[in-house]
Formats: sequence, C-alpha cells, structure tokens
Amino acid sequence: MSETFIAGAGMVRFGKYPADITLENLAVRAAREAIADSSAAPADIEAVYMGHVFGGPVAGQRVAVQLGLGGLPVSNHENYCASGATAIREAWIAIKAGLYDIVLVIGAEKMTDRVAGGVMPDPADLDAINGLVMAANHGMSARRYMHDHGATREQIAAVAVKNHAHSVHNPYAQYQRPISLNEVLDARIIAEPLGLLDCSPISDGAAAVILCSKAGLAKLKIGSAPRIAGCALVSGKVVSSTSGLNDEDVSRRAAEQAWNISGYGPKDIDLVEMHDCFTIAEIVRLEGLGLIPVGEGGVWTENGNTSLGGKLPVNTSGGLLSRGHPVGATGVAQICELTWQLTDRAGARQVEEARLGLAYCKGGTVSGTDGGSVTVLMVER
Amino acid sequence: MTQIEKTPLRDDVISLEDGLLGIVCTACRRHSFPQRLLCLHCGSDQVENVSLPEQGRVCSWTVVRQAPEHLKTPYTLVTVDFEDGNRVLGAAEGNVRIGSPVTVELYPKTVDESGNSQWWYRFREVEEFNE
Repeated sequence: MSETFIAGAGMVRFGKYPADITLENLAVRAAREAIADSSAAPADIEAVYMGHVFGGPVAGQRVAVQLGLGGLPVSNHENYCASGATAIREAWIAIKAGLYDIVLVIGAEKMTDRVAGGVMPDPADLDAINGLVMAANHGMSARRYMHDHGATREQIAAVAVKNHAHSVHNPYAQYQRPISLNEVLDARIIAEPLGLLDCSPISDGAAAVILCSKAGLAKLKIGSAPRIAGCALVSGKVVSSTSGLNDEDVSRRAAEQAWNISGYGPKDIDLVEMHDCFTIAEIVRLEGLGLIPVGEGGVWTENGNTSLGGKLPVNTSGGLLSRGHPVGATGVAQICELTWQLTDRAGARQVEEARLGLAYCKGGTVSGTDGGSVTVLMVER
Repeated sequence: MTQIEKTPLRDDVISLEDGLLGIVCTACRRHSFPQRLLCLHCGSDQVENVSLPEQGRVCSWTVVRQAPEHLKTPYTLVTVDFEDGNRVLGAAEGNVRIGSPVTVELYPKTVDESGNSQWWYRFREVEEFNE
C-alpha cells in the first residue's frame, strides 16, 4: 500500500466575503495556491475531492471545471464540520489503494450569505425541534465541566484568548488581533455560560492540498514532503444516563483508531489543530483524545501549556475561534497549517522542532448520541 | 365549525396519554428513545414499545440567548437522565440546576394547517419527586 504525502497546501484568508465572491471563486483560488505550491501541472492531477456542507449539488464539479480539470473523477463529501477532513481521508484511501498518484482535495464553504444566528442539526433530527443550536450543546458541556472539575469560567475563556493571540501571526486568519480575558467574559451571552467570543464565527473560505503517492512525489520532482501517518473516522454512539456528559467517548474511539493506524501514541504528538468550535470543546476534546489529563484542560490552558511555546501547542493557526470556521473548509485548513508547521514555513507561529501533528474535527450532532462524525488526521515531517 | 383536535407533533416521540415514548430491546434489554424500528444499541428488531418514566434529573442546562430567527429567545434547554438509562434533551420551565428533579410535561407547541394544536414535551422543575 502506498504511503501518502502532502505535496502542496494553499488557502484563502477566511472571513466574510461579499456576495460576488462565490463558493466556486474561493475554492478555485485556494486550489490554485495548493497546485502552485506543489509545482504540479493541471494535467498531473488525476482526481478531485471536495468537502462542503452548504455548497449545493455537485459543487466539486462546478469548481473542477473552472480549474480546467473537467472530465476527472470528482466527488463531494459531506460530514458537516468534518467534511474537509473526510474528503482528505477519502483521497488518502484512494492513494493507499494505488488508484492515483496525484490528487487535489478542496474544502470550501460560503456561509455568510446563507446562515444566520448559528448552525443547527438537520430539521429531521429530534434535537432541531427542541431548538438545539450548537452553542447550547457546548453551554451544557461547559456548565457540567465546571461543576465536575471545579474549572472556572476564566479558564474556559482563556482558550479564546490563546487562540486569538496565535492568529495574530497567521495571515490567513479571519481575526488577527489579540483579545483580552475581559473581552471574552463581557461579550454578550449566546448560550449560558458561553458568550460571543466563546463561539467560532460564521465564515467564508476555502483551503486545498495536493496529496501524492511516492511515485507522485517523484513525478513532481519533490524530494521530501510531510507524510500522512493516518486518518481515523468514527461516528457517534447512543449515550446512556450513566455516562458523563463530557466523557468524549467518541473522541477516545477516534484516537484509538488513529493510534492503531499510525503506530504512534498521545506522547508522540508535538502540536495539535483542534476543532475549537467553542472554547470548552477544545478542552474536553483534548482530554477525550488522551492528550491531556481529564479535568485539567482548564488549568493547562490557563498555565499556557497549550500556547505557542508551551508543552503542547494547540491551534497555532488560531483555530476555528480565530482563523474562522467555514465548516467544509476547516478540516483542510487544519492540514494546511500542519503542512506549513512541518516544513518550517509557519513564520512567527512556528513550533520549534515539530515532527508530528494531529488534527481533529467533529462534525454535526445526532439526537441521543455523542456526535455525528469525528476525524483524527496525523501528519509527520 | 370543526372541533380543534389535539395531536402529537410526532407520534414516535410522545403520546398524549403516556408522555415520552421509547422502546426496550428484548435481545439486549436496553432502553432507547424515541420509538424506533430497531434497537439503537444492538440493531435487533426484537423491540417492544414502552413509555419513559415521568421523572428524571437534570444532567446539565443552558439558557439560549441567540438562535436562528424562527426560535424565540431566551429559552432553557436541559439534558435529563432517566432511571431506564435514557438521556433526553428538551426545553425546560422553572429554575433548573444540575441535579434538579424534573417531570415530563406535554404542552401545545404549534398549530397545523387544519387548525389542530400539535403537542410536544418539555420538562418542568419540581421540588422533589412524587413517590
């Protein structure tokens, strides 16, 4: 089975774009960056994978034709906020299977002209009838986490302060200014106890990577490139009243699969791109993966252990909170960040001697379960 | 004038007589919510319809203050744990806290095209359980 490498990465700055900057436009610009970064010619690309949620039918084909890649196998991948990561996993599987040597993966989303007030489960899901905005789930998670572990509101808010401090150095981030703890604490409440700055924004954006087999790398005359050490995907299971609200069994199961595929374990990870759709989510998911001790995530954040320069830097890109969260693009943007980190191109946010990075996405909710989809992707130098 | 009827908003979730509806699996003995064709835990089709207990305890809660336009804020949401093993999300009335006892309450939520009232469930905080 062929190993899979990341030969190129590119994205557009995440943010709020006007109506005439379409999904296709964003996706084409990100794809061009990734293709140029890999030095591939359009004719080298054998297939296109596109992750998106709100892009409508055959969005990937609409983009591919604008890239001059019409005629290729193109597939669209929807796993809510894990859509981009799922598209990468599908491409990784195809390369491992020996089907292709060079493929393009795009994650793209145009949200600001079609989503307002927060994202919701599918209307057919029971939770939607009850008015479960995503923020409410995480508000309940935060409340229970504080109750169980004595964590403070300030410790949870510190996740937003940290991630905004990181993306001051990320030219692709939606927000590039530091915020204070008081700004987070004083922001208007969205779902108690979480306020506006505990929530990732509704964003537009696109990110892309070129994935290659060893033969693909040789064809592009690339000597070395970061290697995908494994891609895990799990889905939620029914929870019972005897489990903890923040057990994160879905994260534990995703991590277990990632360790089994890659041969690595939690102690080997040098940096993390974590799905911090809400501040508390970064904390409980890091704990669920076994990267930090259960109940200590608040203290770890407050002490700077998860900051750039700390024991385990988390979200050097700014994460979803500050890089922005165009849902289908996020998983691919995470892999762009790991690629830049592992090729020493992360500038002022570079993690020294980073060798192995982990990226986590969680997409959607299903009533009565511990989640929709969870991906754990691992990339090594 | 036709009689205004009371109907459940979804009859796999509540009945006006029995409250919250669920299933128990005769293969693995586990309960799930709401009524489904197959056991959510093991996939068996050997399931029996049951109703959930009338009371549970709040695992966690939040007050939602921003939501898409069709939802009127603020509203309280709770996750409730039942003795049969089910954990159920719903709206809540009253001064709920972690560990609060709550009862299942049915109420008219919407009106359908024929003018019938469609009923749904929510939880109400109570001081202590009824024995």
